[in-house]
Amino acid sequence: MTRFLLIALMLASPPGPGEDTVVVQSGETLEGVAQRVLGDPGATAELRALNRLPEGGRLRAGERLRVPGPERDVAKTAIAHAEAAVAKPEVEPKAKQKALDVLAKAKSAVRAAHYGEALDQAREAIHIVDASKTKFSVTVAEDGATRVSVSEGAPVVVEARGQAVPLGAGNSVHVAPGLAPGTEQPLLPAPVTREPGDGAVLHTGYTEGLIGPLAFNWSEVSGAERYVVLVTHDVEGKDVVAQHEVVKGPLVTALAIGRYFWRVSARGADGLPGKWSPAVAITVEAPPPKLEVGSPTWR
Amino acid sequence: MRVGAPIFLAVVASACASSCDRASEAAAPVMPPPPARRAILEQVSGDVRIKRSDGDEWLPVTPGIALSRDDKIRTAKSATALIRFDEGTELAIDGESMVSISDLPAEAPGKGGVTVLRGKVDAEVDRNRSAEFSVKTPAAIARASKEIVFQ
Repeated sequence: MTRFLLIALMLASPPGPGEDTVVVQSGETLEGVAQRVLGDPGATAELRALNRLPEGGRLRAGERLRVPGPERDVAKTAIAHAEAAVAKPEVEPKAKQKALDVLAKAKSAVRAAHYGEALDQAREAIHIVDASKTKFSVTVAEDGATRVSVSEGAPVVVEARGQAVPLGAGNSVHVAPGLAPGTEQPLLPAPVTREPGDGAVLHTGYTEGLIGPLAFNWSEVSGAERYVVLVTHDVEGKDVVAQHEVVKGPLVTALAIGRYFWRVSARGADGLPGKWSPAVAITVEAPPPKLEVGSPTWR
Repeated sequence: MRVGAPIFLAVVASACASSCDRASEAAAPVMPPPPARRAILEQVSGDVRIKRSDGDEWLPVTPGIALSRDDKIRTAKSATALIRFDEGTELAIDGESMVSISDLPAEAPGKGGVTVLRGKVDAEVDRNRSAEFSVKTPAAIARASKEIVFQ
């Protein structure tokens, strides 16, 4: 008996780095252990792989099982981010299919308890579908309170008070001074631009070198407290001509003669930003000359 | 003797200086310093001012000036500025903001960062060229890396 126990101890490999062990309770099934320890009754395949348990084998009360460590959570988080990136409507079908194939491999690696491999594959899936640029904004209030929002690309890591959280595209997080990052919130949707439309040529009255009044209007966004309207010289929105903040549309303003792009974004409570509408190209021209007809004298 | 001693010492010193220099050159080859890294203030609209790391005054800026570590940029209401880092990262600064160039290490090309003391910035990081770009604030650090981190 003693010799049998010694052989069993020699065969049992110690938990890997970051792994832990649990003791099977009386009458507990593998699903029960997966639910109790991981909160996921579907994780039986992982426990089977980690402990080299045969399919359909029964557990004994008092048996010690290896359970995954924090690397499982990291891999699952990465897969969730990759799934969100792949699900974006702007992803090309070819890239989407390639990324979905890689994601399927990542999920299979999780089932085999190969969490490091799953993490690498989730990263690869994000690289396949994401633009090579990461766009994010950071707003700092007078008291130092910070909001970070990611509009495009790979997740941005937000660190505060020793805690680091990945923030995916389309989301925002608020960090109060002296506290850890708050809960992730989705960005407000982009308003739909109404007028002036794409390619519109505007030429109303001419006042002090500017053409106006010009009215800009858009659809309202639920949860918006105000709107930011940006007028730029370039389609990327970097060469700013004017930036206006209004509680609601329409915005009435005036512009010099020229070609512009305008876009609008909602702002919610606590500075929660929204996505920008696509840029709309407009041209502002001088008003047509007025024909003034006097009283001609005929001879 | 009084005259000869200083001459002897001078000869020994000059001989040592030339031979010691040659010895140190042979032992440790002189490495060229890493190229200075820069960020350029590309676009400016409205009242935008700069306080150089070695200065005390807030001076008006002109587009195209090079920024160095610890330089500070301040924008007035409705003013905007655009900084381009040499690894391709673009940083748009909104009105009523104050930003300091905090991280521009010569020994780590591809890394860069700013500190935002107040206001708003929009960063566009080219993941193919930038190893890491960080935005520090009084409450947090936001980091966009080439390597995607999930923990």
